[in-house]
Amino acid sequence: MILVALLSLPFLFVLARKPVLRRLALRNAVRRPRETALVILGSLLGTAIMTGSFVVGDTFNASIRRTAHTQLGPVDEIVSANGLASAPVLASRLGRLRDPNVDGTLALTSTTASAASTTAPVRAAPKAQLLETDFSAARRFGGDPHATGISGPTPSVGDAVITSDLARALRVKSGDAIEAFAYGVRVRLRVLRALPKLGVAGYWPGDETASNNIFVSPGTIAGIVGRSASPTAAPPQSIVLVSNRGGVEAGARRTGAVDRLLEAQLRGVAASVNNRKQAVLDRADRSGKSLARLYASLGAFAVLAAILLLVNIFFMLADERKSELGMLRAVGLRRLSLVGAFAAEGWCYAVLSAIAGTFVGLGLGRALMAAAAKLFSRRGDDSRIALHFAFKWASVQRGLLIGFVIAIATVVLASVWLSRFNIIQAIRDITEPAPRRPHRRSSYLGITGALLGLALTAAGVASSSFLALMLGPVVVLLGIAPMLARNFPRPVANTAVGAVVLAWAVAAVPVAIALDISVDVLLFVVQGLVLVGAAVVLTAQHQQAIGHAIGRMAKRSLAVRLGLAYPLARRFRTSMTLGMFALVVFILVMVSVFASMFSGQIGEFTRDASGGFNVVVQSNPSNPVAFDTIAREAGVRAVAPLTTVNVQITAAPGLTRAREWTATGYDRRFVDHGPPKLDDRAGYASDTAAYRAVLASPDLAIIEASFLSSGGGPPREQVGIGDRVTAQDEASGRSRTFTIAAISTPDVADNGVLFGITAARDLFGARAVADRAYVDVRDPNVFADAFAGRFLANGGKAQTLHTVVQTDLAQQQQFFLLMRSYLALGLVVGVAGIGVIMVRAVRERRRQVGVLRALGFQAAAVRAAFVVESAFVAVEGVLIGTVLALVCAWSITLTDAFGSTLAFRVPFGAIGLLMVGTFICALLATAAPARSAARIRPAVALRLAD
Amino acid sequence: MTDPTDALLVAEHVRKTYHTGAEEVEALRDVDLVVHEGEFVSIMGPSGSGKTTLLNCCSGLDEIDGGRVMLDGVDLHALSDARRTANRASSMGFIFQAYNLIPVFSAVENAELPLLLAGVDAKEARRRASATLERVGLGARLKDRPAELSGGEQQRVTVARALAGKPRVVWADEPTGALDSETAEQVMQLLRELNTDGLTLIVVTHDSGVGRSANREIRMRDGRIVSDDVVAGAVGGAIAPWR
Repeated sequence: MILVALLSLPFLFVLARKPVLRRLALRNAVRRPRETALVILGSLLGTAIMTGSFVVGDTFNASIRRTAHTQLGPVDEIVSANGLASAPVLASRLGRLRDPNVDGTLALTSTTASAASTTAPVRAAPKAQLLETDFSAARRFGGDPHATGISGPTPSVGDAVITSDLARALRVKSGDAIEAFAYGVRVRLRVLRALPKLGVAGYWPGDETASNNIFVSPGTIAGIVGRSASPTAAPPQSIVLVSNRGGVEAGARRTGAVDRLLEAQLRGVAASVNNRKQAVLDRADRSGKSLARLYASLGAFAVLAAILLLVNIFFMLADERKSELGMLRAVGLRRLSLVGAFAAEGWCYAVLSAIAGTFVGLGLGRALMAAAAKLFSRRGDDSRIALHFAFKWASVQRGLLIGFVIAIATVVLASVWLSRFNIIQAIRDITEPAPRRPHRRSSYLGITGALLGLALTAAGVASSSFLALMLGPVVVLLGIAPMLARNFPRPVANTAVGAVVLAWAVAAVPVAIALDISVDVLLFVVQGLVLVGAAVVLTAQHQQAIGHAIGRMAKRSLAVRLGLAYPLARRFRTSMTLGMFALVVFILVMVSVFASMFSGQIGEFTRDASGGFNVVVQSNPSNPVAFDTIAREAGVRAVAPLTTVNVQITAAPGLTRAREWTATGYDRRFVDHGPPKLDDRAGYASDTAAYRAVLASPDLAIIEASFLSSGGGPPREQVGIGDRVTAQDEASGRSRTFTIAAISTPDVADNGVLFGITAARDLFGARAVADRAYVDVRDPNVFADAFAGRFLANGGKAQTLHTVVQTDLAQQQQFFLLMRSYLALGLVVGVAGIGVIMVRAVRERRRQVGVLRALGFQAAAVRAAFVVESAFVAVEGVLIGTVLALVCAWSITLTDAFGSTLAFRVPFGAIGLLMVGTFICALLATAAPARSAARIRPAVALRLAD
Repeated sequence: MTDPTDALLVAEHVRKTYHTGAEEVEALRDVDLVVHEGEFVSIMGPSGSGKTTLLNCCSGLDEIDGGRVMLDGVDLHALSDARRTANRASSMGFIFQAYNLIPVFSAVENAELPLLLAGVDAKEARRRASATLERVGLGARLKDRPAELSGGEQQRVTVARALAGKPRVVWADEPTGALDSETAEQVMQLLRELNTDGLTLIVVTHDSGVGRSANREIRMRDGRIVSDDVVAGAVGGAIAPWR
């Protein structure tokens, strides 16, 4: 806000201390309230889009942070060890921990379980956990009883206190009975009460947002394990929860110090420390920033369109007032004062539009997040994010500042440019002739620019910067343009430069990828901008030819001729409008094409992800399904058991802090029946050979391309073949370092890091239980549908790999849809822009319309001429945007930026709808100004003019 | 008022009132006017006397509040807007003080507008417009846009535009108001020649020199015609229809 105030000072000075300029600025601003409103509307969209983007980031950030309150509360670190026998050891080391950074510890015993209701229809929660703790100690834990979510006494034998999530899933209430299944044992429990999903009560160590917790009396888990007949189940966990001093979020700042303390305390104990709170907060920041960046980057197209609109509006304003401005200069107003008056008027618009835009942006963010919340709630699994609208004032202020700076910079630059008119020509309303050849000075400046461009290109290649590589050659070409224009006819020079820039912008992405330069979502902004700019220059150069061709087609229509005459004659304005439309359509078509290309991958993705299998099943690690038994069933062709656990990735290229990731161990059966396809198998002869090598060597692993990366755009390979990655078991604290042997195709089944079973057993120890499996079965749908019912006690869940891919892609499509809805805002800019421009055009041409009407031009023909004019610009803009987006998308598919399976596909329906919709909206926006033009009474227009 | 028999234009009891906020201005008060074919009529008077309003109302550019205007026997104000517009396209030409050319059209494109509006074939329209521009001395400037022409040249394009459609009557509102005296004289000479060829001209002007070029001078004051005289010594009166 201080920056806004500082930037406003010169304008406030003009308004406060220069009465003439103040009168000029303010009276011009209020002279035509309807048009002022339109100018503000056009200007506020930039602020709204930026604020909306930040609000999206804030909402995601806050929603993930909410997990820190609901599923952790006072819990900052989780110390866990395998087996019940570890509990006394942990208690002795940590039970009386005294440290200024720690305000409490809480002992807990847990094991995974599945749960079901006991009355028909039976409802099940395959993924739940049994927990034992002392409720009085739990309430005291962390110093804020409310933050723990714990209330009432510790449950007695046979009783259970469950979380509201589980109560909802099983549809049970106090007094009802439930059954819990673990280690092959069924336990019947009476529900005493339901606790909220909050703090210790909501404690959940997995990625799921539902906390299906069953608190039971101490000793219950030991009793179950004692009665167990299951030889291969993962052991229960002995856990100590640690609360850092400070609030729920502030406490995480002490994690580093507490981590060191815990490591010292646990020396020699087979236990691990999981900095869960910090990881959740990091993830919140990462997701929030990444989404805000994605939305802001793609929204930049709409912002740029809004800037072009603003420039256009100001040039029209200046054109309309040219003679009065010329008169003011003639009577002694200095050029600087003229800039001051014009810019002060623009400042009024900028302030109003920035404030209004901020509110619109908040509303926009809220609408987007409401749509996203619906989208996520449809996903149907427990790992969805529960979105809660939130924003930070800092984000609102940032949106306001960016919008204000954009508006004010546009206004000031436009004012300076406009003030450089010839006074006499302005007074007499004579168009200033364009110089035939650029001045020699321009050539020298251009050559200097070209040299800088060369340096930029070289720097881009040397530093692997896509931005520099992309823009360097463009600067070179723009630099040599004045020199070319001095030696060749200007249209020839401009056409040549425009064509080469266009070609380079298309080729830049494949070239960057060939040079191994990483490209992210910023690529779309820079590439789109350069492409559209070059295409608009080319079109502007050949606008007369295009117009004449259309004119010849509609030879007899005077309305068409007149409608085309204005956009052909006003090249600058037409280019601005064209650019505005083309930018917006470009990004919308681009996103549509990518959505279509991704959705078209379902067959290929399923084949790649499946290998020789067609179903993926999972079960409770404390009570896993006996996969060997399944393998013998009729119709089952193969079963490949997998061991999947969460690990901490503690060391990897580019990793600054440990991150939780899934890891899966496979055995020979997985490889023999056909494992998922690899994207890069390095030097191995075949995919199978690579999988076998990893199976044979406990030091090798396979990852997917997006391992540890985050953000939009093409997946960035942060970790590649040959890199070394260290994984730590979350229970025992054991670590192993792997070398990456191959990169898999997208990991839709969430296998995470893949390594051989020997390495898995070594790393996971007692937790190395085969709880998942890839299955090849004759009738996958029937098998998958029946699986959960058959293995209720095991927490069984099965999905065909086709469904897994379909669900993944469906969510991706929903995301694209959401993105397109957001980007459609740009269309509002375009359509509102054309409306504003046509309103101003009617005012500007009032006299000419009057003359035409006097000469015998029918009202309907006047209306038609305005409609033809906007239709011509809209069609050109839509065509430029569409063609460029298609070429650009096609060029990207020539590379493997988004994986080798991405095939170029044109969603004709979606693009057709977009083109026709945009065109119709442009016509609708022109309807009112065209009608008002047709109603101009010739005598009135001429009388006012003369 | 002259004899209305066989007149080209007959305006009877024409009234026009402007409403400006709460104020009412009677611009025309019961005006009668008769113009015969081939006449060169100048309408003079001080500012606010109603000259331009009379031109606008009699040409059908503006509505009237009372009376009627007959052009070639057709009651202009009884026609719909579309019919009246078509009538203007086929029967009238206009010359304005501020030229009022379409800036995005070239000289020849401006001149051919009335022809195209009257439904003349595009090629024929271009040929006739070019010929008219030749006649007003702009044969070499056909492709130039208004911004590339001087004031006098622009006014000559306006004259060409007014004549290209071979109208029954040309209305001119201060045709020399924006020109220097030499250029103004050239334009008036051109108009005199056209009138000699049979063109009916009705010119609104402040300029007594312009007024003297006409063969009939009407003076207005406060929305009324206060005098209507034949100008002695004026060159006027059509011998044969100019077209």
